[in-house]
Amino acid sequence: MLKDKVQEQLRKQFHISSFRSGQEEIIDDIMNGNDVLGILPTGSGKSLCYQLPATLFDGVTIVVSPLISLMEDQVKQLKATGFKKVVALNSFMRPDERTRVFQQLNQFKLIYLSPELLQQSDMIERLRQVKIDVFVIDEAHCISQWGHEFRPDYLRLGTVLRKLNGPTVLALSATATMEVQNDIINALDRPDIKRHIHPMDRENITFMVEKVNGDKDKQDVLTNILKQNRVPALIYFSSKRKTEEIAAYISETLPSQRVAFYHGDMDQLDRITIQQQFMNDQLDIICCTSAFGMGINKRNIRLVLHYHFPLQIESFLQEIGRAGRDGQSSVSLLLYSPGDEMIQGTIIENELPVKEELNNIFNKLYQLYINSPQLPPLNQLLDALRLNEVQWRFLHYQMEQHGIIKKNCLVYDKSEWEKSIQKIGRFIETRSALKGRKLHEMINWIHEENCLRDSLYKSFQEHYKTPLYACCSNCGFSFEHWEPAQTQNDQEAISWKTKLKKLLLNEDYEFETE
Amino acid sequence: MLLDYIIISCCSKFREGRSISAVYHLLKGKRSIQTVQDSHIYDLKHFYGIYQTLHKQDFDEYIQKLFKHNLLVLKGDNVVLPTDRGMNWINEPAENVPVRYFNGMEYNRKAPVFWERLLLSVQTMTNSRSNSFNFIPVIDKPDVMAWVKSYYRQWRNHQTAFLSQLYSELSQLLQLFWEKEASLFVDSLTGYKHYGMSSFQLAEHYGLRQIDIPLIRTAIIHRMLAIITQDTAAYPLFAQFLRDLPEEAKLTNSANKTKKFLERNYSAEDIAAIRHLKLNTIYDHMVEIALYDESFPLGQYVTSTEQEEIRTAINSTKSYKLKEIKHEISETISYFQIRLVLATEKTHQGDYFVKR
Repeated sequence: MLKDKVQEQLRKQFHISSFRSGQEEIIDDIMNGNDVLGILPTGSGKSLCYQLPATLFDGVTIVVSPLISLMEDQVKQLKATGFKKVVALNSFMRPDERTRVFQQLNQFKLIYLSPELLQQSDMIERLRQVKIDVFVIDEAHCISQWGHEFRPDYLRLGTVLRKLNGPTVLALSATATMEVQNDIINALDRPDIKRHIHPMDRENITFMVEKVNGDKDKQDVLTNILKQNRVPALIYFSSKRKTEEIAAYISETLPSQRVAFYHGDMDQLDRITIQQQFMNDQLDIICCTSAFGMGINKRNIRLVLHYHFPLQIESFLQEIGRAGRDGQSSVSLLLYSPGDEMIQGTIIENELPVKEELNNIFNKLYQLYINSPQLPPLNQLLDALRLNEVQWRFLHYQMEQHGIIKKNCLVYDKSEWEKSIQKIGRFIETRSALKGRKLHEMINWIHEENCLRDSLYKSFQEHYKTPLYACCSNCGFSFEHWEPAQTQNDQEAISWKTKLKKLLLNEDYEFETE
Repeated sequence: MLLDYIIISCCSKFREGRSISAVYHLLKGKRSIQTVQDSHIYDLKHFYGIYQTLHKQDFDEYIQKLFKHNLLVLKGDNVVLPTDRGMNWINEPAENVPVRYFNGMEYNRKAPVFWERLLLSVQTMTNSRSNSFNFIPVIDKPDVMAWVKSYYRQWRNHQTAFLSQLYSELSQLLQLFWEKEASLFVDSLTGYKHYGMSSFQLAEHYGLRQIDIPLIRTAIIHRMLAIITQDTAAYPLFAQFLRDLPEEAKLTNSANKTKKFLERNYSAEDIAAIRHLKLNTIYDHMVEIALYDESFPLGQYVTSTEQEEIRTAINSTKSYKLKEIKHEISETISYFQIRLVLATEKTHQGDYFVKR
């Protein structure tokens, strides 16, 4: 009965004829009220696992999502398919908008929000008044990856669940080692959660690492490959400025490539424009930061290039997972030059307070306390303590945990403070060691001399499928052997009149169906 | 290029009369008496509100750049004057700089709505013709979406007819423009499986500056609106696009209330008392009314001898600065009276002063 209903909804609401691997089992469990941890490879349709049940339940489904841009995209895409009872809440909403949405919260089937918003007591109060059927944590690896440092509110989701009277939980991610899975389960405090773990290896992706000497060499390698191949490509960078710089460089040196950059500082209309043009094959190459990709579903990305390598293997797997969703031969190329690890090391250092500075920081906090237990405004505080926001958020959460900050007020007790400083210091050590280890894993993989595929997947799963095309650069792949279908050149300068005719009168268009 | 031209022109008209922020307010279309009055008396009505999306920070950086290129020069704290180089530059006949298209005072509110309706209509109609209903709207403002929705309902069963009429009107209009302008306009449009270029992309593609792109588009739309309004019979579809547009509300609400009282012969003092407002606020309203109302009874507030005295002072100081004018005239004449005279002067004498 229930299964028929689910099948019918799949066709009617989502216009899909059958489930992809993994989806049905998860939806089954959710419909039966079982908590689920779902690890599914990127591009396997994770969001359907909660979107479909949401349309069948009479109450509300909450989705916790890490990025505002991601939420906005998802809401727009859902509305475009005709699913209108959906809203994304964020702290940038205008007060009148917020009041309007709050007053009719139970009108929605799906509510997207950030973990930070769930810390506001009025938000929780409102949510307690509606029936919540399912509580979804999208990109659940964020709990482990970001939770301990700059998104501590991810770690507080367990408490939130209790306040919301324990709804069914669905935690979803594309990449999670056993360690991360356990982190997620502990934070949510759901030891009996059902695990649906699917192998994440991608048999149609070929891996390549190329070691060069410096930036100039990276650009040369890049140019050479892109000169030979005009295919949909993503190039990942760890700096926003660099995305713009290299996009300009490519469009200058290779005028036949249509290239754009993408990063989190762009406004929403520009971001959507770039995404949509890439989806429509109006662009060949996107130079981007990790902000690009979540929620993008383009099937024919042939090449994912890493100009800078990510801080951990998990992020790398997420990013290369966007290649070749159509099953065709696709390549991941990582460019490395000596010294790259320094950049990444600095990024990590800036995410945690320095242990040796703790005494100093607490002395300053004591001075502030004598003045007034109430903490000063953020800017002043950061100036006084010489910390960046990420570091302070980490410290704030830790101090809360040790009971020396309560409701934004310092609580002083000499011996308590001394004990806490010791404990926080040790915790910083543990965390930096872990991050260092993660980074080290990534770097080790880059320097792997044996099979790259084997080395990449072995910490995640026991077996992986035999690759369909070439395996990796250590197994003999080079770009000369790669012959992907090339994007056709249709870029002759046509007059505005012809363009307008094509646009409005549909001339030259073949009849296309989805 | 275009923004250079506009800023330098504004500075050359304001001279020492206004600070550089007056230029910013003018381009943003600030709805204050001062800015509206400035645009009248300095003969800058056509530039009023033509760059509503301009950020202060970008504007400031831009001014710095014009200093650096020796096109503008700072005088005192905040007065900015064109250099000789700047003056020469704007007096050269610049091709492809569509400044003449602007009519800001008339179209500053209509133009964005017209553009957004056009953009969303094209996207909606071309997608629905191809039976594609899963598209992300390029414009997500509720009022524009509501308008396009009702418009769509009206045309749903005649999509092909609609699109071919749209094609014929749009290509007829665009033919009246330079090739480059028409081409840039078409490249901004979004349709079925085709997403329009962003300002950054347009700038790169046409070798323009990104900051000029919204201005060029606005210029084109202003001229389109002028052509359509003159000959609505030739553009039946676009004439519909111009229906239910927000009116260019000329008077602020509060000034409108004051006007109602004045029409019933209340004095400024009475109105202030009744409305619990400061007398100076009522004076501001009256200046605003004088600015728009051709039949404003100036004589009731300023005698003809006083008017003469003020006009002579304006002529001799060649200035619109109230302080300088006040200095030249009898102490019994108030600032309020000077402002009223300035407000009513703008139509016939404005040009005279600015052109020297």
